[in-house]
Amino acid sequence: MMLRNAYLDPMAEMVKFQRDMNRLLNGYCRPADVFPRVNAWADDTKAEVRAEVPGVESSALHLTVTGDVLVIEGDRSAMADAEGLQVHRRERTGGAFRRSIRLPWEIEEGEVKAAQRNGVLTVTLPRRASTKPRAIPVAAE
Amino acid sequence: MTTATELKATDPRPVEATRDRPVHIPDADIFEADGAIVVLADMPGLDDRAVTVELENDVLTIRGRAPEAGVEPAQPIVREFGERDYERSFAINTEIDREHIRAQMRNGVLKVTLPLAAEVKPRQIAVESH
Repeated sequence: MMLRNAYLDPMAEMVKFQRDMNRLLNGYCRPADVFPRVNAWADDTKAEVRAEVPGVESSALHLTVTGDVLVIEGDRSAMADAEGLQVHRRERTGGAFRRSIRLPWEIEEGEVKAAQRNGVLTVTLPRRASTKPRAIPVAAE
Repeated sequence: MTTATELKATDPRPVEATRDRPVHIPDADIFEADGAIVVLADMPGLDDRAVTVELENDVLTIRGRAPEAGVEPAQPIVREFGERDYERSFAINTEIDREHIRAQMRNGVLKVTLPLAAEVKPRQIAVESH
């Protein structure tokens, strides 16, 4: 997972395009090979981000908002760390993770809400009021 | 002497889905601890009512039916997962105490605990004389 700055990196758009094309060719909605998987929606006033964090306690999730970027960090212990465990199969990935999601506008930091239910984290992020488009009335003279 | 425990995962049976959504094989951990085999499977978004666990003969099958997705809240900007059902079967090649199997859902992870059957004790068979 990389956070590229579109202004500094002219290749960012190409990389994004390539990734989008790969996703299209692989079949829409095929799960990405990242943890956690993220879906996000946005309109002009608010956004919703959902992340699949099975097995992650709420206390092990840390969210930060800076400008137009939401960062989801956390730690997942995939398996009990008990001694004398005879492991037959280990597929669930564990350890620290970090994802950042860039929204189309700046976020009102104070009004971000987050909840975790059944291993899915849902974050609602309102747009910062000062960045919302404002209609300017035209006065007739 | 403990019985060798070998678990093999098998792909879901090639069944035709009646619902128009993909069926995924959930990631799973399997380990043996405290006299039980424990299966952990990631099924994010599902609660305990959406999951079934079945042990038929030597095949443990776990299934999860994701709830219907509601209306999307807005225009998608990132899309890495879709709604999907889960199914996976495991061959259990060891004696299980079938009366005491437990399954629980927590934070989108299914945990199935299969206690090993008490070891078969050697029995002395008395030989009768006529």
